[in-house]
Amino acid sequence: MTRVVFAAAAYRWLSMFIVTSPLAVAVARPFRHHPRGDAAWFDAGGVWLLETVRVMLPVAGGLGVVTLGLSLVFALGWSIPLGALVAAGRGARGTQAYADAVRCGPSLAVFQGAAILAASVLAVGAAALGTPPRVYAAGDLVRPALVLGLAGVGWWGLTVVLDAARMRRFDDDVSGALNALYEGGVTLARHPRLWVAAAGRTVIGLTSAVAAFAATQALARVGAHGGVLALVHAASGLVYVTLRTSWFRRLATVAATSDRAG
Amino acid sequence: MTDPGGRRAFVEVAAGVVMAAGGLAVTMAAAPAIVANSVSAAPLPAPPGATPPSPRPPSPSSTVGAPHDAPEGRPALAYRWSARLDAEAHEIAGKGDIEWTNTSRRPQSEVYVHLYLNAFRDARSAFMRSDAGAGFRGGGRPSRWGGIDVETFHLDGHDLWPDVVHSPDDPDDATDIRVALPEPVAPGQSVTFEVAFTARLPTVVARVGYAGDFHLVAQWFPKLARLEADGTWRHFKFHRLGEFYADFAAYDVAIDTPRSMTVGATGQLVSRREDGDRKTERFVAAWVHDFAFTAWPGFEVHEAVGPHGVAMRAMVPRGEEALARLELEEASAAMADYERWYGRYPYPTLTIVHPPPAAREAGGMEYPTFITTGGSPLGARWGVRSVRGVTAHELAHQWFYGLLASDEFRHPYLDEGLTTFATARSLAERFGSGSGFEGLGWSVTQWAYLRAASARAWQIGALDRAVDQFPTGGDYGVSVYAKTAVLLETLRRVYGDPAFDGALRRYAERHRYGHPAPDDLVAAFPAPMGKQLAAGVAGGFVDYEVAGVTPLEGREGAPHRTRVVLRRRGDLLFPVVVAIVDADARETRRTWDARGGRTETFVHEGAAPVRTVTIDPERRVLMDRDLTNNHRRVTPLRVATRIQGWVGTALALAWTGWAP
Repeated sequence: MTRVVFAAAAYRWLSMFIVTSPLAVAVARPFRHHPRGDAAWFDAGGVWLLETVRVMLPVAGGLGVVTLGLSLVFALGWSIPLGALVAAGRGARGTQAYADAVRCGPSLAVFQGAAILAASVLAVGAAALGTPPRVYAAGDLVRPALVLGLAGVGWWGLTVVLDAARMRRFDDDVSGALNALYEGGVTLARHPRLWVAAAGRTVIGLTSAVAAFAATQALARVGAHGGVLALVHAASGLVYVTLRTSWFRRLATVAATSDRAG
Repeated sequence: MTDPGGRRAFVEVAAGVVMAAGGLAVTMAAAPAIVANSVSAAPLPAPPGATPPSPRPPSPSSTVGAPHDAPEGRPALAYRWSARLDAEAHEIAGKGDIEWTNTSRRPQSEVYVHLYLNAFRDARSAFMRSDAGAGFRGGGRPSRWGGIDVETFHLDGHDLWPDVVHSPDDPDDATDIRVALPEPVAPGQSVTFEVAFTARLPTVVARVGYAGDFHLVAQWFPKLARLEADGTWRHFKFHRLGEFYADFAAYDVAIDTPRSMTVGATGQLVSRREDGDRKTERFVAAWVHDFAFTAWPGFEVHEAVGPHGVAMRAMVPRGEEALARLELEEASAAMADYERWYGRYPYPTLTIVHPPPAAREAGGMEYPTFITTGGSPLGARWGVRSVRGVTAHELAHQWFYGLLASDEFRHPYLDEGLTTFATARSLAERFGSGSGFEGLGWSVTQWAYLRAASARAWQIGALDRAVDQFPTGGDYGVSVYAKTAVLLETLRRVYGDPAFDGALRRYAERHRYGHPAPDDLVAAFPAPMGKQLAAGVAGGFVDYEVAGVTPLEGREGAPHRTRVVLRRRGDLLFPVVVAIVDADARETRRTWDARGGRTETFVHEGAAPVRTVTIDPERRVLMDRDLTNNHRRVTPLRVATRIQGWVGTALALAWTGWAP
């Protein structure tokens, strides 16, 4: 279990490292010779922030495409470490967890692809419907807040259903993505308290991610070494993966109980 | 005038800001000087030492509405109008006279009359034909056209108005009209034109027009072009990027509107009369060169007393009291700064108008003693200083445009550039690194934004160009606003406040109530500042670079020797400090005056190897075209690991949702 959790955390850390590397190399150019290196980017007053934008503008488009492409590849690849976490939650150990994940790989990839697609569609839709024509008074933000809130809740609900489907896909008697999706839905319908558990873990996970983000910003501002920031990032990833594992274990336990009861 | 789209990316902090203004301190959080009331307000509380404004409208006299330091005599031009606003048709029926004195050295057999509202008469006007500025100063075309029809233009019983009106050499444009006089007017001779006209407002476009029942009434009357002392008329069509140029005048305007309207205007309110469902308010102003007014039933008026007892009114959409307080506070604080630097604001009143959201494009414009501002009240609460920025900018125009009435068509940098500089400096003095934005742990100065924008302008020609010489609105904006401001800030930082402030103060005092030209500005700056200013205005730039840092072989035990090569590109030349830091973090400084040439090579000797060399570590030469080559590390950075760590956690946060 521990090995699988660390491996998943390592995957996320490594994928972020690779995804952000083109940007990190490109954005180093303006700071290549600055005495304080890229710490100047975080300086009060924003002179170097805007100088970087000015210098990087010609390559921003290409950089964006590369970063998005890499993100997509690694997000799809996350299916397998995530599958291993599900298997570990169901009691599989070490390589067995990966073997199970690979066995269910196609369905897991479909779930992951669907999640990415749905998130992208929701984000674009929310931006199109929720962008206010003007931001003048608080009332102008009511509609955007409602649209964003609805999109967020809808999205979160879909991720919970997909997690339940991932878990049920590992059952011997469940084959195919659609079947797993149905069975996952049944599990959640039978055990509404699972939603509460999912919400709790989401809140903790988001809080941890936001805290890590704020911490890296504060550390960078005081000139901390990039390695320290990487450690903070890694710790945050570990918290996230641990929460996911605990969630899958909970799902598996509830589902097993439910099966016995059935 | 400001560009509402591009320049309102600025921030606002909370209340409780204390403004010090030459002995006047007003704490707006406590707001003892601000009362919410209607136009028939209670007497304004005055700060200690200030002369309280009269609680009742004063009787019209030669001094009402006039500046405290008005030049001797009366202006050579006087407009007396009665204007009736038809709020349904959005038209103003105007009637009155123009008293004009030939102040030139030559007899005049013609006058030129600007009808700038005709820029919005149809799509064929010079203004509408020009796409150079599209997007810079707001939208394209109004959804309802406007214009001015002059019904009579009489002199001694003769109707002088031509049958067919169009601008010289442009039959499709009717913004610049030549009117032949029946007989020449001798130097010093005065004549009075009796005039009647109808002005039709367009829907709000380029800082004029109506939106619903909101009206911003500007460029609404036949206005004489400026007659130069040598007897030539400075007359020009209204251009999309251009503004105005006119003689100082006295205005006496009676504005007749529906009673429900709240009216604000240039000058001082001297009388108010109600008659049924209408009312007439009379405003007078002297030694100003334009007159605008606004009328809207949705205004809420807040008042305060500014430095020297200036009666300030903020007219904001109903329910926006906090916005009014913010604007009054900003105007008072910025006015104190400008008075310190450029001389006293001389008029008894200042009216600040914040148009409703539906008339956003009416915001961000200056008229004498009357400015329209803009920006989002919500943004102001989130740390964007756009409301402050626009208010301070339009107020600064009371000096650079108002009191120093330069030709805005031919030399736009003299008003917009100096105004942008004054605004950014004032905000930076009060809000430091957060003068543009402050929030979420980040801060951006106005200078950072202006610097980045001006760096785009380094190769696009002279700053001092007539507005029709700029091929795009972008070129105009970065040159006239940004690069001029950054050039002036560079002079201030390099040569110091006393020398710089003395020079600009000299310019402001010498040409107060005058019409200065670029040479006048340069002449106010002593060498070498004036030389660099002239070179910068001509389009010059500068780029300093640490071109090489090479450790040299040496004997064992001898000091570490490093060869340093510095380079300067461009036409400008400023002395700069060079900081050399060694591996033991010891810093050595030397000055490079750059007079010896474009490169400088020296060998540095020290107890430890050199680690970095930096030109201009205090960033005094803000207009340095490229900051990234101002440094040299012996061991360059290859990967921006801090940015990578920060962006990585941001992406991980996004991934939590995107790919859970």
